[in-house]
Amino acid sequence: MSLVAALIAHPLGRLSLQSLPFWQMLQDPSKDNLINGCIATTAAAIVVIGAVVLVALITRYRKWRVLWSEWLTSADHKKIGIMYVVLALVMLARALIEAWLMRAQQAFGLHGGFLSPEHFSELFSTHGTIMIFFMAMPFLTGLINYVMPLQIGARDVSFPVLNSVSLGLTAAGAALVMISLVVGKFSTGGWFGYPPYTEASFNPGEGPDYWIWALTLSSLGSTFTGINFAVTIYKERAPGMWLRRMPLFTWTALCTSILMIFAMPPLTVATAQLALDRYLHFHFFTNGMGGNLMHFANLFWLFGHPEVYILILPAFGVYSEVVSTFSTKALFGYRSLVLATMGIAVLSFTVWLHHFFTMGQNVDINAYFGIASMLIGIPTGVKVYDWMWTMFRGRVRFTVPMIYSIGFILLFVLGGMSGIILANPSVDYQVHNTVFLVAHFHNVAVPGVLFGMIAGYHFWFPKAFGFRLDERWGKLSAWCWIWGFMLAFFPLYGLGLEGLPRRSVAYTERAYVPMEIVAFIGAFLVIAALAALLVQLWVSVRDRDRNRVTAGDPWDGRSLEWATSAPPPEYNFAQLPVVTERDAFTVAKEQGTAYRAARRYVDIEVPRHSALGPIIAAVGFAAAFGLTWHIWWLVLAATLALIGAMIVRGFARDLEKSIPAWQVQAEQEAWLQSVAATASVTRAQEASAANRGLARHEEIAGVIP
Amino acid sequence: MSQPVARHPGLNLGGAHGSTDAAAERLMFGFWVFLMSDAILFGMVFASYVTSLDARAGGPGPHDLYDIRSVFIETLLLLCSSFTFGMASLALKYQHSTRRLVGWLGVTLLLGMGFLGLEIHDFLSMIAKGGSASRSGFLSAFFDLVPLHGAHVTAGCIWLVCLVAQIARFGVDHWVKLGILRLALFWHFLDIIWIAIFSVVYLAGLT
Amino acid sequence: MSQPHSQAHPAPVDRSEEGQDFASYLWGFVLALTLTLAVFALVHWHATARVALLITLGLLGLLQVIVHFHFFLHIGFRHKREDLQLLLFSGLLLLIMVAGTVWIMASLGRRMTVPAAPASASRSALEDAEAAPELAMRARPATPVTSPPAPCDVDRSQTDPASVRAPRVAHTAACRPAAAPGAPAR
Repeated sequence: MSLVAALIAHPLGRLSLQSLPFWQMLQDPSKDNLINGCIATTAAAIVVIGAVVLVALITRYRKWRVLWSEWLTSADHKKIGIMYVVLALVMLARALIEAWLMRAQQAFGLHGGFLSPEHFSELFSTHGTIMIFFMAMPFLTGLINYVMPLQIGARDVSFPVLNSVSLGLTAAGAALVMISLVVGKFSTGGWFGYPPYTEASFNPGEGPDYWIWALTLSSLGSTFTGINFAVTIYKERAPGMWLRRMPLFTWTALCTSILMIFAMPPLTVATAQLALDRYLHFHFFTNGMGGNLMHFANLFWLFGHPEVYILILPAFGVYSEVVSTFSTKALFGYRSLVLATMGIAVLSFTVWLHHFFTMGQNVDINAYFGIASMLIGIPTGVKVYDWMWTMFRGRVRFTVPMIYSIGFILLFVLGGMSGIILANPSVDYQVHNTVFLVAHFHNVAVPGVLFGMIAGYHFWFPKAFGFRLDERWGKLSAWCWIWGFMLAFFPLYGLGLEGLPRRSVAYTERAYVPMEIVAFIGAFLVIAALAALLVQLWVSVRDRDRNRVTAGDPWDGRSLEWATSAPPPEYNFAQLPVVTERDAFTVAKEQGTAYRAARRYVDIEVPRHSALGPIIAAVGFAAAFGLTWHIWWLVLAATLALIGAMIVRGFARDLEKSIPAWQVQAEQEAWLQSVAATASVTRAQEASAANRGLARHEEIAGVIP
Repeated sequence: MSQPVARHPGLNLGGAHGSTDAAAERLMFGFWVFLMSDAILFGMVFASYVTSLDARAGGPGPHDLYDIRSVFIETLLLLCSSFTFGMASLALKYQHSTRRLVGWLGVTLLLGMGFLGLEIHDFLSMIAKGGSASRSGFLSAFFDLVPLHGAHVTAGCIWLVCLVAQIARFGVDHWVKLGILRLALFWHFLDIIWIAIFSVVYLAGLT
Repeated sequence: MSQPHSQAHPAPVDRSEEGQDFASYLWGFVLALTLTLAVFALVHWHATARVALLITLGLLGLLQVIVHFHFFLHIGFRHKREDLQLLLFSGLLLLIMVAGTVWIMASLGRRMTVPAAPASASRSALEDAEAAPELAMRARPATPVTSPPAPCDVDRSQTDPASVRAPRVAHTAACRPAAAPGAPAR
């Protein structure tokens, strides 16, 4: 058969009517199939109806042009950051519903529950994959994208169009995971997809392929993001912004980006080799013929361990900013915090084996990695002490971000301790693969990563949109999160010690039931927390005029992002700041040099919009979908389009536009006039409608760090 | 040498090139960072290869399949191409004629394509002798590592052709210069990876 | 950041350093060529014993890499600090990741090797997986009843001990896999 004929022989690849979620229950309406089929069809319907409604709304309000020219093609780090966070919140909603379903299944698990084992396996696979790759990574990338260039006094990241491309790749991966709800089934191999289960011999279907290509798209996006952030921090800092004058959030952004650059390649290799096995009958991880599944485990966790530090370091950065701002005090122990961050970054590459202590290597290796895993807890401990010393004798204000931070300090330490317990290989052998481990990593991920992201969202929302979020609904959400998390996950420590394995669709021990019920109640609280968050957003938009903070500094902030209007202009600063000390904006406020007009206004070059990001998103999605469903002509077309797009981009020449000096001056002067007309508020009035974004600066001296 | 601190890896254009030299700093550092991540990628594939040496599943091994003569010629071709690219970089920096620049780039391309042609021939003869990737874990690892390098060289050749096309369209302008600088980094990096390949894969395999 | 819009060169270029730059490439080429010839010659003529040869190979290869970095890529101490720092950090990480991988895989290779199959090696992967428990069963009857119970890691019919589908054969009373009490029925 000629190549062309082979390409178009099966135009839809292996897509068929069987790929639809309701097909199986129509063919064979047994009770099991009906329940699972209805749940699957409902999920698919939500995706389809959601997409249709979105398109309808955009059309109704004639926003296509704005969406395309102001947002999707934008190379502005602020817009890209916002889009990342929006993506993260949408995926958070889906993954939380999946979590609730799993808790529901396990609450009724003694009698077998209502989900089939296959459906349950898909749920824990998508839940993990989404939370890590399509919720946490975009969330932290979005926050860093928005805040970091402002904090270092830059106008944008070093490679703005690459930034847009990274967003496109991540969105394409998320779209692939979403489309798996509508056609076909996602992998049942967990978020780490171990072969040989995910090999073609055991799982020839589309599931593992969905997983492979979603991860590939996401990891490429993250690699480029890491490169972008690292170069930005090295090369774009404002004059005087030495490395040791940078805010802690920027330090953690730097270490996170270094981790991204070096940790993503092992994942790319592992998934590529699995793909070679599945598509071209290679023998990297197969049973027999020289394959070795441990290669995969080793490669995956070489990625996987630094990955979890990629997730937590930006959260630590957020906590540093939040704790010092809302304790009305300079951060304690700046140098130790920086060294601890760097220490964590380097050590994170030396501990990966603790994810597979039980897989057969000798005791010396286990001991070495166990010791290294315990050592890495030390710099984190240093950080916790630094935050506590920052709060000590400060004037602590219990705003929403601060509540999350306090919840973090109390709860994350417990999770960290359970990690130290697990770092002991002998203990790990006992609790390996039980829900004790599930409790541990949720205990560090939820109060650690998620609370940090939500705190950051609250903290910088007024800067990004010009109005504050509603405090009442925010506090309700925080309360539900903290208690929901505790109820949902603390029982799992006990259940794990009693022997409940992880990923159990059902069990036979009656003694598990009470704790499973408690965990299920916790899941309800978590859904309530999500709902409160969404209501908060709706209420805040409704009341935005009452809560406007256009002067730009609602919290009496310490770093340069607060020295701009809210929202900042496209070029960030009318005149690039000259930095002389740490906490540059606080220093300016104290010396009376804040809110000054620029000495000279010049034309400012900003990157032009580019369609490359959305094009690569579309083409990436098409290639991934084609590969998953064996639609070879689509794969070929998408690959050629991708190469073509990059070549065409190489011929682009007019890449920047100039914002004229008079416009910069007009915008700057308008903002300064509004600041002059604004009444400053004390910290006591911070949460009231009187807060228009101008702070009467207060500071507790405390111990000089 | 009274040269100032070099702004970036690779040949620096120097002050005579004005703002192109200034812009090169961020662009070249960014590309350098990308090459570091690519180095880790190759490192992991090397590690897979080295730990798969015993995974022959009774199939052919290095002594049955590797052709040292061919590898030697490929090595010389690639090393010469590094030198010719260096000459192209000099033609760029010292503003020799465009024809000279394109000439050196063209020679580099020919050498690179010669390398690729020979390498593909090697792979086909290996497969003909029963050494295909689906034969064993060892061969899978080989066919991951060496064609990965070959794919990079192919991308470099395509990039080179695109740069020459840009020269035809725009002359040697700001973006063409930055493109050549980056391709230079890429090309030398690939030669460094090849040193590791011929040492670890071919020569070590044949001792 | 404005761009020059034409080919016009803003300043005449200083040709005095061209000689030095050219020398750099030439020296790099000559040294690299020499090292290449040396190493191929050593292998081609089996100059020394295997281990010594491998070490020499490694050292000469490393030397040639340094030659490339210095003469072609002009990496040195006269650089912006971050360029060299990044290279050294990457080198460190590469060392940790590759050395760690080799150490771990070697240990696993010693302890977790599947015994050689009695039949031919031309089975497909799927047949291998299905045949493996049978392999263990066939190997088992050779063990006399009165001998000490086999240690748990003798059963290598599956290379993934964490697999739920643990082979139901081959475990004596004194050695049981750590089956969780609430393991779900599959």
